[in-house]
Amino acid sequence: MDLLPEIPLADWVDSFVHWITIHFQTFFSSLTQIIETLLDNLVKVLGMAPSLVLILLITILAWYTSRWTMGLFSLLGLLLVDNLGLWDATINTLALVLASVALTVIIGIPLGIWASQNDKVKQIITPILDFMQTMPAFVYLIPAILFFGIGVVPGILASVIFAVPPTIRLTILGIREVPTELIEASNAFGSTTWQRLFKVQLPLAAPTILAGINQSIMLALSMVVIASLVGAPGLGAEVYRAVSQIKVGAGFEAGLSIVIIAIILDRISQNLRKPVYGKTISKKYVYGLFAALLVIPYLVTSFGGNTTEKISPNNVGEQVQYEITGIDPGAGLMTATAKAMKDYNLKDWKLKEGSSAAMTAELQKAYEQKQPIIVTGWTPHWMFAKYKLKYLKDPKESFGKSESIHTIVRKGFKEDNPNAYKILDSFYWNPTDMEEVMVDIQNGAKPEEAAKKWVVHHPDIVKKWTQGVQKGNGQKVSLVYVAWESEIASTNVIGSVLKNQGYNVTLKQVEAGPMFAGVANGSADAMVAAWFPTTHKDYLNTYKNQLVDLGPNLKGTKLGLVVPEYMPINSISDLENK
Amino acid sequence: MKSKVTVKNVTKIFGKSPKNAIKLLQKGYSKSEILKYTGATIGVNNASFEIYPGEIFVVMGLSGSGKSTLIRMLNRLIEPTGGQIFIDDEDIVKMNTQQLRDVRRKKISMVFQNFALFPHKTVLENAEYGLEIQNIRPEERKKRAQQSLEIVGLEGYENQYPSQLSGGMQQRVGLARALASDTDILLMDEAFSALDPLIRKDMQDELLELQETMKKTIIFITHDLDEALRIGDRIALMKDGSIIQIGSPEEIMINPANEYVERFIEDVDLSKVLMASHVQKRAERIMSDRGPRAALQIMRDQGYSSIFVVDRKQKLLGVITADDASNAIKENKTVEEAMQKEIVTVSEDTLLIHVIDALATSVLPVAVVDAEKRLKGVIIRGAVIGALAGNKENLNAKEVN
Repeated sequence: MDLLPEIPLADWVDSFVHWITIHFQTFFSSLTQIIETLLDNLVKVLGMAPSLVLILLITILAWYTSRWTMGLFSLLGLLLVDNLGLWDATINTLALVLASVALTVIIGIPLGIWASQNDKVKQIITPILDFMQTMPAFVYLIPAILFFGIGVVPGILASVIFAVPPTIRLTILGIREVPTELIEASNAFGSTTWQRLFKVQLPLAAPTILAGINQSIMLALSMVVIASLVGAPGLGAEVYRAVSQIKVGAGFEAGLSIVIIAIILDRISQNLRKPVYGKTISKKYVYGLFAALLVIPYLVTSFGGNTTEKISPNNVGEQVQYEITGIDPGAGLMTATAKAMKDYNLKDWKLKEGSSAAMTAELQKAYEQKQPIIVTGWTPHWMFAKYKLKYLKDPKESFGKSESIHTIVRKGFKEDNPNAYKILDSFYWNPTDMEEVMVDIQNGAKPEEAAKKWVVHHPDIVKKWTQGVQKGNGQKVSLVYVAWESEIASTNVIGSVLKNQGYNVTLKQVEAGPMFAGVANGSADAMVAAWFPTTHKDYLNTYKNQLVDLGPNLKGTKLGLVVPEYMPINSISDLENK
Repeated sequence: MKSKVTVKNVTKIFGKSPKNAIKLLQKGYSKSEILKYTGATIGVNNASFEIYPGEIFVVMGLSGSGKSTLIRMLNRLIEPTGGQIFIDDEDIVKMNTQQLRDVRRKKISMVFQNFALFPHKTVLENAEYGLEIQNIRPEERKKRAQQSLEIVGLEGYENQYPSQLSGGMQQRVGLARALASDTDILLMDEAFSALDPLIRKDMQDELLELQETMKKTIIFITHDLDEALRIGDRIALMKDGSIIQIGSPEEIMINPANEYVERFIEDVDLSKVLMASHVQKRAERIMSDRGPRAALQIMRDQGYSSIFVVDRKQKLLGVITADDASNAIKENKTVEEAMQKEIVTVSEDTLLIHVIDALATSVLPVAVVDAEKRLKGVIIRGAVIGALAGNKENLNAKEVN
């Protein structure tokens, strides 16, 4: 293994993406702008009439294409969704799926046609499609954030990348499957390539192509949950929020709504070509009517509503579009920020949900171009070492005072493993120690190695934790942590120490909710990543009686709104519209 | 006669190194040797022939003999590797895409083995296809498609889809589609092979009937020798990509070019191919104004028991037997009065199978006459049996057509 130096593939990809980010900035931001506007208008159109109108229209379409049972199912299902209060989220999801599918069709069918006519193109496209389908969808999101920021646009584009392969593949298949004799017949009568394509190949391939589009719709729908990680709104965000807060009921409601939408979209798109009642009323009229119902209001909204108010360019709110870039929807930091927005009367402002990774990506992007940005931040965090940033003053103390990070173990851990318990109990260090590890990791070191290095360099501190403790004998200790840089650092350090003491340590990275749930139900032994009293307050309240709190392992953390130093504001009260 | 289609030294090699294959071909290597050495397959090897306006030219061979490749090169559905193909004096091998498209639209149309109808189009729309892609106005093309559907007897089925029709009717649609373009040349690739035997025979008859009025130049591919013999004006026989014999059905039957052709035609029912002209013998005759003594004298000299009676223009009037003649001498009658007028005749192109019927119903010799009833010859039982047994000595070498 050591004969060859590690190929810096990750670095190459990073610099490539970085280069694209810088050089195609204008292109990306205008593309973002266009897609965002299109989608906003689509959401407006879908949400224009009372929910009942849209429900009835979808019911009629389902009835017409797929029998009355499907119509009835659509009616009851959508009424249920409406009743659960998830209608707005549903509209967002529908708009997201419609937009993704529209892009998928616009991109996929021409590419499929091209590849079906040209073997070279097919040979090039096929491995790319394999790559696109097997590369985990999360991976697309990373560059998508850098290119398009967080919000709905990277979500749509990731959905398109994920959903387009079946449309392309089945277009190729459908066209290539047209019997040779029919192609010969078409040629023998002197058709041009286009005539052959439009009069023979495409009509015969239509069922296969539509099956591909149906697949794409389903895949696009399955991406809405993942897209919510980068801040795409809709049912996916509801699911994500429920997961991060361990709200089983809410999660089920949102999940069920997705299932209902999926079934309706699947059946309608499957039967679109041969609607069940197609003989009673020609499909031309029905689809024409529905298209008109969608397109006309859409055009009216797009071109009729240009009445956005002008705000002075000096206003910071205008510069950042009244958006604060947040992190995972369940985090206490988000609750605190919401409280701060209320306290400072930031009514026009929006807190964008996403993830901490998405937030730092946004920050990096804005910072490199000296763009204004406001993020939710916390200390310790490597971003303070990497960029010149400042906390906005919080005179009303909405974010509370500084926090501590606590070590928490499951009930019964002390009895099961008293020595490991002792080490965890004495684990305590300073923010500067932690940031030392974090910077190493941020600079590319593997977390275990950065942790090992720190342990080697600070024998005196480690000694304090392990003094007088008997060595372990291969007992299992499982630690859980959230993928925040600070927690990665601390968990790896304590993990490394426990390993040195002879324990068989496993580290599991989870979301904040599962982290608490895991320790509470005993499936994990301990965590060193509980932020109190603010960030993880909700979780502590939920699981108070099922956990053992060993007190802080680090003090002096801080939460708040963070901006780059180049921004001309200093206090949260500067954001208020006066 | 000036030819409509001229094929000169056309070769088709499938595979990656056609040049090497052609070299080996010129050195006289066989198809299987070339496949072994170069990986290339010989589709068609140096085919040359001419097709005349208004004839049905049948290309006949077993599967893999290259006949389908050959016909597809005539409209360049398959590109020839070498050679020239002239259609009305224009070499289509040299044509660019646009010119080729015009030839396909205006000069050559095609009927396919498995019909190749467009399943998403109605019968009428299928028939219109060739006109539709020429951007002819909808009313005009509908009218023309309708006419060609009528020609093939499909009026009333315009709005059906191909899947609703029987095989025979589907191929009528295929034929109507080809006819609608009103091209001089019709390529028919195993057009009737997918039909069951009875329907196939009906379609052959109909094609021949249509050809009476249309006078198209038809190139017809088949693997069925009976079909080739039935409809072909001339037949080209192919084996392993080469044309081994071209000729009229009779020529091929009577003078097979080699052992392969001989074996090929071995199982043919000769009675359905050979005609009266192949077995007829010179008939002894007597003018109607001669006396019965003369007739009796001729019969005695030649050893016949009867003799045909003709007028000055050689028109057959009847037959007189030796008994009839003896009686006439006694009763002092003329030959014309004494002869029997009820005689069985066949024409020169009557197939032997029908000649046998005639022989069976008549005790008198069967006469061969032409359209003006002029006596051409006589059918002798022994010659018919000998010919059917494959005995060439009993066949007349002269050509009929």
